[in-house]
Amino acid sequence: MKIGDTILGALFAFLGAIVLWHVRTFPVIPGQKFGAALFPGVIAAGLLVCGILLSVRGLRQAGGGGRSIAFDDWARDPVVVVRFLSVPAGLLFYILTSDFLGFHIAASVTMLGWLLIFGVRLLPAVALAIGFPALMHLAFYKVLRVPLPWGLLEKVVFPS
Amino acid sequence: MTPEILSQAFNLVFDPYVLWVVAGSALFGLFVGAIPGLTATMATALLVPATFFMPPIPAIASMVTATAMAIFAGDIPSCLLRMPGTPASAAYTDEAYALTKKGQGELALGAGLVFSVIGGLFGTFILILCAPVLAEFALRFSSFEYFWLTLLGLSCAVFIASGDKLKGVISLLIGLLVATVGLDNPAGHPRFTFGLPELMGGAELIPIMVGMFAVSEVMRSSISVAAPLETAQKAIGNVFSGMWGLLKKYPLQTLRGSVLGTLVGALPGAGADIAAWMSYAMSKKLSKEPEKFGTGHIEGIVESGAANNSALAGAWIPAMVFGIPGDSITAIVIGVLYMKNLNPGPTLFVNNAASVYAVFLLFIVANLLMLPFGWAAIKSFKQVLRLPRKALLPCILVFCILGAFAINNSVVGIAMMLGFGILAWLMEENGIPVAPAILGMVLGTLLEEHFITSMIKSDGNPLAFFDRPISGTLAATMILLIVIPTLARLLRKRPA
Repeated sequence: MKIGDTILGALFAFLGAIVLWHVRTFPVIPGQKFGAALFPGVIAAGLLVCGILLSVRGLRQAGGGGRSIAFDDWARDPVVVVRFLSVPAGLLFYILTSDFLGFHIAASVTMLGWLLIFGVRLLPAVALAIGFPALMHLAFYKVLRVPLPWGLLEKVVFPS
Repeated sequence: MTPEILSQAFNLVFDPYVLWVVAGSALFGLFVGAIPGLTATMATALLVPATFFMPPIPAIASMVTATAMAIFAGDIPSCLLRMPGTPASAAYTDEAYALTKKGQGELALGAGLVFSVIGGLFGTFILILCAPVLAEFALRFSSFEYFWLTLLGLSCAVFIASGDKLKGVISLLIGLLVATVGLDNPAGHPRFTFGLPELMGGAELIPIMVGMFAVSEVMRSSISVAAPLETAQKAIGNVFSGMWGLLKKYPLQTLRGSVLGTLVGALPGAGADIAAWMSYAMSKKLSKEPEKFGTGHIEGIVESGAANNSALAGAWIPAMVFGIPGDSITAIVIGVLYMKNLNPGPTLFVNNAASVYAVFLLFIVANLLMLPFGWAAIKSFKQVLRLPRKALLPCILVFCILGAFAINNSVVGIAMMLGFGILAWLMEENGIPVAPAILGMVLGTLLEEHFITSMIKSDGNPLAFFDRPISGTLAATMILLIVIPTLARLLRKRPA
């Protein structure tokens, strides 16, 4: 996705402006000139200036290319778009559900989704989606002692 | 360097556990490097979770070995598929493939391997020579000098490493902004934490880097999961024959590539890929037969193949001495060093000299091991190709999830990884370099800290930044770095 310089610059300038406005609420240390607002303030001012410069440069670009948002060729193929979007979507699914479902179920479901969307056949996909998280559980939970969430499986593994 | 320290370092490195880690990471690095689309930086990012529960030396060993192997292994698909395995091989991919087409695949692969080893050893030699001397000098630095040095490092990333300066500055500012998150500031005020306790201690760098280097890379790769992979040459003969002849024919080129590579590596923000591009261009410019470049001529591969591996060691010089990463790989390594209580800086050389020399030794071991391991990798490359990318990418993603989670045992890490993965993908799509942002994130906190400390010390007098001799020199360098290119541009414009 190619975003034109004018739009890109405007976005950065906007971000700079918001931060500049926000840092004014930071407390001042009495008797000292340099507080918490100084550094983020300077950075935000820089972003504002650079964003405006980029915007202006985009406006001067021939053919109005600076003002457009263009998609690459692959974006016309729905299969590829789904494959591409499945990466962030799968991660988001894991983030939202892993506490409740637990690592094993959430990771297996997410992985199965990815494998099928990427075009792996059903049987090997199921095997890998169950096997790989199990292997990772062994490495991270058992060996490295990372407290991976059990979620739904907690009552099954630790019946009390 | 005393004999005791050296023998301590030997004991640290030649420990069975460390050697196992080295062998395992070598295989991992070769694998990641040989698969187009997976980079050496990604290999480092993926290694981070595995290093959590290792002692410091094996943790460093895994990263040193994996990156050295990955940068070499990137040459293999360059030669056989015309696809660079890592960006560091892209500079001479066409050249190497042209050689293979002429039936000289062995020569191209062999040169890639042997001159990678030579370049890597040369860079290590410079690292061993320079780092302790620089560290001794740096012991005299105060917050004023560190402020200028950090600022110099940041400007380097923008002015040397990125093509579009304005976009480079924007990238740097984004990185610096991310570094201001958290309580760690003069007033102890929670900045930009959005009420999340996980962000109080600042934005955790490791999940961010896993996102920027691994998730964004997988997003790019997901566009074409089933690339038709057919190697240009079926059987591969002896890759070592003719290497001695090449070394005798191109001694100057080998040296030039290694020196340039080490220097570019040591400059903050520029790493192995830029070293290879610059070195290939220089080789062509200074060659006696520039017309042969691009038609399958080995000279450029010798020079830039040495350059990209020497850059790896070069990047460790500022990383170890000043805590300023020389490339994106050392940016991750610095994070790991802090986790392992091996805080980079000149005092590391005083308090923990054995560990420093162990790192030097590890570089030598990793580069020497490249000969047998690299040979085996060339021989078994076809088997690596059989691994379907469509099955590999989901495995990498699950591994990323685990790495980002394990830092704080919280899903906030995974969310950060996702956010910064998308950001990095968008940045690269739109020609905004990622390296300055990474450098800004790593160095932002230090820059602010040194600035505030200096200002308090000098009672708010900004002239104090120019008072001390070293600090004044650094300030002058900084100003020249900005003024000279601007002047040059103005002068060039006037006649026209």
